[in-house]
Amino acid sequence: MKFTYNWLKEYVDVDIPADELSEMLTMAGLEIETLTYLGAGLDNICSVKILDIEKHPNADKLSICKVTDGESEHEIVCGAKNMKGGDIVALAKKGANLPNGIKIKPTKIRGVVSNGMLCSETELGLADEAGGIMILAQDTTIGKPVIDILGLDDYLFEIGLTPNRSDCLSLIGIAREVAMLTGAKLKTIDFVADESSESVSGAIDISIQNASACNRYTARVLRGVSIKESDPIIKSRLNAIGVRSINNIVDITNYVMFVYGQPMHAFDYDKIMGKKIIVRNASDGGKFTTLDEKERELTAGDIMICDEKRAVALGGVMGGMNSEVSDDTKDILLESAYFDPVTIRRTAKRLGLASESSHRFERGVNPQTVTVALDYAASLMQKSTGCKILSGIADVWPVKYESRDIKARFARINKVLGTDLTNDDILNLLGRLMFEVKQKSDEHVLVEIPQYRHDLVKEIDIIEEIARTYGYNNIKVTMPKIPAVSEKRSEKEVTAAKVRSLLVNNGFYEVINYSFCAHKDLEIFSGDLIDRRIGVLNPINEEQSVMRMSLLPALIETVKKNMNHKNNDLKLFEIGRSFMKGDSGEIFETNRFTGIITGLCYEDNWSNAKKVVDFFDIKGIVELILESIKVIRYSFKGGASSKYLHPAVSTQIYIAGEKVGEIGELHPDILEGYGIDKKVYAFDFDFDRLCASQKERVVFRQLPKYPYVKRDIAIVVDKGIACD
Amino acid sequence: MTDDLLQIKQKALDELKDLNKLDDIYNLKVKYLGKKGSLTFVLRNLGKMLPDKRREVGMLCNKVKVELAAAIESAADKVKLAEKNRKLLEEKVDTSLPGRRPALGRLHPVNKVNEEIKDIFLRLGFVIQEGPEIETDYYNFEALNIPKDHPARDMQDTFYISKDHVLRTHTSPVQVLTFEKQSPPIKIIAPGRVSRCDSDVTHSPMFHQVEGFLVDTDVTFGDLKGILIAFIHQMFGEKIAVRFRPSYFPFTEPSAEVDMQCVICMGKGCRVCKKSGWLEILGCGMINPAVFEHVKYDTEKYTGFAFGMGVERIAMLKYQINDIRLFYDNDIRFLNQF
Repeated sequence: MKFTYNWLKEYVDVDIPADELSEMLTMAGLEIETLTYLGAGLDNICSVKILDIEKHPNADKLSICKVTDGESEHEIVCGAKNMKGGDIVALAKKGANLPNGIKIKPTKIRGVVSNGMLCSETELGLADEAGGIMILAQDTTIGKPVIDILGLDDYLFEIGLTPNRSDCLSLIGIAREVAMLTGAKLKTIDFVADESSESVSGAIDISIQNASACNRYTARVLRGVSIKESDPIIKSRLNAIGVRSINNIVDITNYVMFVYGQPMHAFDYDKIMGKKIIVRNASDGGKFTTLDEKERELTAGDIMICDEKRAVALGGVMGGMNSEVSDDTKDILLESAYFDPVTIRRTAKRLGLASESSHRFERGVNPQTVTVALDYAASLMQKSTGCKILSGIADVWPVKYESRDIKARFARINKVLGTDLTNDDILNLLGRLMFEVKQKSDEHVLVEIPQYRHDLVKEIDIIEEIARTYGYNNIKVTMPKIPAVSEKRSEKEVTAAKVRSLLVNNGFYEVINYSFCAHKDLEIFSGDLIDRRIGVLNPINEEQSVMRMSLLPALIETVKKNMNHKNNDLKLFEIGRSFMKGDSGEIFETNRFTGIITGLCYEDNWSNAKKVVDFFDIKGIVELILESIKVIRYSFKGGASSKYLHPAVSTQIYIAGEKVGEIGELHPDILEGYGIDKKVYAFDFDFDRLCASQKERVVFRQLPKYPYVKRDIAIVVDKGIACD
Repeated sequence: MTDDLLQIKQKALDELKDLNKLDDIYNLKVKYLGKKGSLTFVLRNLGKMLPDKRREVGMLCNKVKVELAAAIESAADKVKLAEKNRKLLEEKVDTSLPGRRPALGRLHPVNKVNEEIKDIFLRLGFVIQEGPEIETDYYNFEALNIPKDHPARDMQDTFYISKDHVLRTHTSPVQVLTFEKQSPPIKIIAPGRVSRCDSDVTHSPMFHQVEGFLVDTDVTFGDLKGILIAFIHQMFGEKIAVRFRPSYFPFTEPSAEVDMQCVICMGKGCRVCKKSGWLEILGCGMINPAVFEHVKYDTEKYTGFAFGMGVERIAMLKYQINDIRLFYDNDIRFLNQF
């Protein structure tokens, strides 16, 4: 939610420095994400009148403008063509430091001294494009700083509003908060709407068929509007908060929405057939073209605003093309309604159509200002166009909004917060919040919740409001009084800590890769298990579209990436989860512990032999891992079953007859696929099984009494017989 | 005769002076003190002298012999020492060459910080618990007071696995999983991976969180402040200022965001803290009674607090890392800095 300080000041009598206000709001839970001075870079720029334009003697494309600021005359060299004598334009004088970084000083251009620069909207940082210099209105005072002319001596606030505070999706909501924080007085919005003798009742007939989705629908009819550019104040305020100006009518509906938080819609009255508005549910599969010229597919949950024959708006979300206000529009039907938040949210979510309107309806608008906003908008339209406002409001209101009372216990407030606020303290804080106390006793207070605070439902909500108003930083710091417990770190924690430190101390780098991977990784590494994969329904890209079933693909990818940086000697490992579906679709998350080595055994150094790692280096590491965690009954059996390992340089790791992992050289075909032409070895443990495996209890053994005797025995056997 | 002896001694000493090889010294010893040596010759001829003379010469002769022997020994020692020293010097190495180091790897910085966080909370008496990365909609949202069709769902862009399963968007589901199994007092931290559909310089689709929660009778917001200030002081230094700012999380109320004094500029205002002097470091609050209702805890009897922090964020602040994606590139040149 964005607003400017000057705009806010219309609704609350506040005059503290902007950065102070920003800090106050932030500390009250309305976090100001950015605070920008709108006049930045616009000093030393003022309005001047062009007295005369001459051609530059030495350049065809340049001209020399003689301008006056009312006190003195200046000669300015200018490259634009869109100005004429008598125009009022913006002159950047000596000392100006424009938003785009240009510093202005008298400069000789092709032999003629230019005492400043006539500026375009782009140069002033007001627009992305400009077709020449900015021409100001004819009645602009000469010699006035442009900051004042354009109303830019102002600050833009942007609140990162949390979803609970729908009340602050409006200027008056923020004004209320400012009044609460500073004690400043709220100002009322004064406006007059002159109603004509023609009554609205003959002009429109409203009916609601789905009252649970549309609690209230009100409308006014305005006759004889003219569609034109907006009032400059409305236009500049909307511009400042990043809303594009369209025309006076649309701008007013937007403007009033920002003021009151009440979304509105203006229909071209003549396009509403049969003088009827029927609010009903859409039918499944129906189609409707919204204002943004997109055809939308509907479902039964959507709220449709219809005339006698057809739908004219997607209620609460966006108007329709067929009833849009155009340059020829004469009469207006102005809508202000209260739609059910959940219904609006479902529609907006499903269609991916989050508008300022749906954003407010789905968070809840203020039921008390539905018609106030309607009247205000009508009066602004009358002011802008002199149109007739038909007397009365067409108002169908099937579901009344019930006011809510919450009981809050004084003791409970202090119990949760750890404060010792007196009953009076608490009543004062409630007063600052403008909550009405309906009833009170020594134990509790009954608070009437303002209708704009949809987020306050339970006692705890009041406790939060009290805490927020009291100030979180005023609450005393304490330490919890909780019995001491003695608990061990889990087996998994302990084992992980041991093996990680072992590997790190043996030259391994720990890496962390994503839990998701590309589908092709599963094809290579998961074999038949691929059918048990778990996909992500809405991945960011294909590379992250399915949950990983092995840690290896990403490790090989890591090797490849490092080799691209000429780091060829690598020892890497990761402990992380792999994911798989069970027979009946249940999800299994298994911890895996996977390592990979390639390149030189030892650091490449002036004296180390350049020995390259082989199978026995990875096997040695595996043995070290097992022994460091006191696994005794381990063994290596046969070749590995995994297709990604070298069939003749791989084996399986067993503990007490149970397979816990595999080691081996990666299959050259696999590596070729990654563009790696070096030998790479890997180990892969089922880490959960490793943790659960039986560990040796350490018991001291007596040292032998005699020195050992070494015997060298050689036995000749067939080549095919394994060492063990 | 005595003159001869003194001459022999002088001669021997003179010769000895010029010798710097052990063999020459031993030859000299033989020449003078050996069986056929000149001093031995004198001694051997003592018998032929008169008794008075014999005694005088004999005594002198012995004295010369002892002196010569001592001089020779000392000369030999000197040469031996010089020899030893020479040999040692011959072994000289260029100590400026780099050492031959046993290989040393590194823990991943995220895990390093994760371990630090765990250690601090373990010392504060918390117990570690983990939960699944693929979570049901119920545990990730519903039970945490984020019903379907609630705008709060927009706060976290979710990866869906199926209609009912998501990649957990936070570690908070561990709260509910724990409450279902245990009764208070509870004092747990739950570290783990979480995922959100978001990817840029400060957002990674997968990152790490540490959730913490404490439930008992009489746990207050003041206690929450106490624990978190203790944590921040241990993690970033005793003097770091901390502030609590109202915020909104559906599963806590009152909710707060915790800012600490910017550790880069020490609160003066810099690019990292966007000139505010403060850095947002974690989210927290008193556990919403609505969460307790889901697990049938007595909301009158028990209160508790919960907090959650992003490990990458803390690591980025601690090491002044400016791009979260570096953590997952696993470039050795990055990893070996920690």
